[in-house]
Amino acid sequence: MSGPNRVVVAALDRLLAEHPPAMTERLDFLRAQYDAGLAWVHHPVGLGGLGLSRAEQPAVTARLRAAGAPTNAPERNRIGLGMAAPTILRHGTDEQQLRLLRPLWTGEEVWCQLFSEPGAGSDLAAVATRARRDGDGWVIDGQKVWTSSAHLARRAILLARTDPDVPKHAGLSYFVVDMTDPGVEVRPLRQLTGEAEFNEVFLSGVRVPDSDRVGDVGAGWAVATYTLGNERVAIGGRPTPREGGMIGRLAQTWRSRPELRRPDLHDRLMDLWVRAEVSRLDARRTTQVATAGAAGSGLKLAFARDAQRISALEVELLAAEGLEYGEWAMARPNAVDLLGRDAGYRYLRAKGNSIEGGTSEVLRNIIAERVLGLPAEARPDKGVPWKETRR
Amino acid sequence: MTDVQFAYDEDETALREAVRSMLVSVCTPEALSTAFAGDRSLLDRVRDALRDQLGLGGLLLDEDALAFAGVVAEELGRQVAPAPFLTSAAIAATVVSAVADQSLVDEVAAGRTLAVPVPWSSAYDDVRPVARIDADGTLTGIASHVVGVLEADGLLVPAIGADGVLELHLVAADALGVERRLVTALDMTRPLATVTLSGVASVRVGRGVVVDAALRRGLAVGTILLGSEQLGLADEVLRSTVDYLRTRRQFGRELGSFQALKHRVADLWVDLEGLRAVARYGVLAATDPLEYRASLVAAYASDVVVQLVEECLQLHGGIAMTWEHPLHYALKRAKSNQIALGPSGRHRMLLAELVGLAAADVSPREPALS
Repeated sequence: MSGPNRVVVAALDRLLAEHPPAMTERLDFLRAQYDAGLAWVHHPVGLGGLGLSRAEQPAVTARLRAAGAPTNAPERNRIGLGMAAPTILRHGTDEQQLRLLRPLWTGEEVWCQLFSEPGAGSDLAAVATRARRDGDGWVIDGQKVWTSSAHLARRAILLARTDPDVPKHAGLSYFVVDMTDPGVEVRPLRQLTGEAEFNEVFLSGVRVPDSDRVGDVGAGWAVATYTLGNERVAIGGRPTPREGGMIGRLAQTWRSRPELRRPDLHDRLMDLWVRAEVSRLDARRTTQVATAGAAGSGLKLAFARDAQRISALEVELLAAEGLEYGEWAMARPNAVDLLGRDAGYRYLRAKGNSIEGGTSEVLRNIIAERVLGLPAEARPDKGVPWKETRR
Repeated sequence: MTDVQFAYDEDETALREAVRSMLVSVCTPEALSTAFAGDRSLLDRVRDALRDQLGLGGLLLDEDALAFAGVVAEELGRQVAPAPFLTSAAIAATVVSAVADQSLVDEVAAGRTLAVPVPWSSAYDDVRPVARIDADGTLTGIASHVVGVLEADGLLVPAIGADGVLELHLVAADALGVERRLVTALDMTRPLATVTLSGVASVRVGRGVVVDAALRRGLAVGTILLGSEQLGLADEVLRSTVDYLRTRRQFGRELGSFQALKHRVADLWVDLEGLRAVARYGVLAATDPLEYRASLVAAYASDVVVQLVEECLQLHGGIAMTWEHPLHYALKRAKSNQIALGPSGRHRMLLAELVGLAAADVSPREPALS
């Protein structure tokens, strides 16, 4: 191993000398970190980076933590950092990159994603939210759903229909929306768990300048696909220790509560323990040998299946205590914590694991068609102008 | 396990190609069919080719070779090939190496075939003597449901004398008083037998805890490599099934275009991906205990592979119910492998103890009904 990159070390030395964390306002420090190219070292100079390898970032983070520097609270802005930023970097104009990325990274502007609609879930390309030309801008009308962080967000990435006269994938464009526009209404979407992680977002005559369109008119599907590719990466790639996931909670309960143990539950426990451990090994294997993005589909499929079985067993293991539920008041969590709260919550929340981020049925199609090469599903809307499709 | 390299390196890939090309020409479905008529000539041909052409007779005497052995086992599984690889090159070789009998180590390295005649259903924690040692030093006993013995030159017999101490004895397979009888089995590609020893002369090769540890080690290594064999078998069965679904047409379209079938195949692929990971972990993660790796592999592979083969048989429709279609060889091997070296439920129990998740201590109670 060679030591940290000299350019990085020099930039860190200068940042910490000119902006001592103990004597600098949080936001001032974060802006200075961005301007020093230490926000995303793999970004170009001027856009929060130094044009270096992504592998240099962990050393930067470690050094800044050790120096007592503030963080940009990434957990508050997952959509912005994980999905909007890479998309803007890849598809945005120079002007958009300069204007949008800095406040995104510092957390001054939280972002959300306006993609799914009541009529466009798995079939995302069927979105019906309309964007109509109006002078040098656009007017947006429609309804979006499953929008996390919408109630906190300053900006959104939006997929909308600009041309209903062409087949569905060809008539979409991609925009950045100012969530403070008076035409934006955000309502909490309460889930079966009692809490509202997500929102419904109603868009009525929302005005977007053409300078906030990302990619060409009609090229929105390609841009959105890039955004979603980053989502799969975010879900897949984290290495976990043995018993690091939901199985750890179940195992810990088994160990600490001998009075709850029953032989019939034991075989299920061990079957799930084995499956969880095998999935963990397969995640490591996939990061080493993955040849196609579709490989992550298998991990996601197994994760959803096992999370549902593990959380169900946990409720049963708890016996009488499994009848309890932590809290029904409508909380508004910033981020989902699948390991947080109680077993009953985990049981209910895990039902969504096979729906969010690609349903298990869609993932099975992806595996069958893209990995195994079986024939594609029949698509009656293929090549048909969007306005003539049955919806 | 930071150093586990899940990808196969160039040497492993070259070995795989050599074994595969040999097996594809020798181990045809027609040849497999003869095994079910009690003909063991295919096994002899595969053994000779492995030993004489490829030099793989005593491969496992070096533990670093476990990953190579995994590749060989995968390819043997892929063709459902009969071979004394698991029984001799893996299990027996590990045992003689563990009891440190140098002359036997040399003989196995030179290609002598050995076998440990314990029931093939024995898990590594469940090895019992199959013969008693009489005062004159001869062995007498019966070992049933054993494999690898018909093709063996010598048997490594766990035996017990009047002092109750476990010993390991070498018996020449053709010695006076040794009777080896082929048993009609579900899987005739791994010939099952009963061995009867009647006052047989033997040579002691180990005694006491070292024998217990050696047998335990041998069967654990065998269990890990059985997982590799299962991987090769399942990979080939799924590959050929996907091929079939791509080409077979009914109702004017390829079977593989029906979503009901695609989804079943996708689920099998997900299970197979897990098997790729755990089988490779088993042969490579030398820093984790052998028994843990063995039980993890067995607990996962046994059931998943049977389910995969059963599903693939159904996905073929009627054709896979025929003798002519080779899928039945894989089914018979997979179902037998589910029992081999300890059923999956026993390995889950062993694993539970190893990771601190032991089952309930059920205290005996008075029955309410009598």
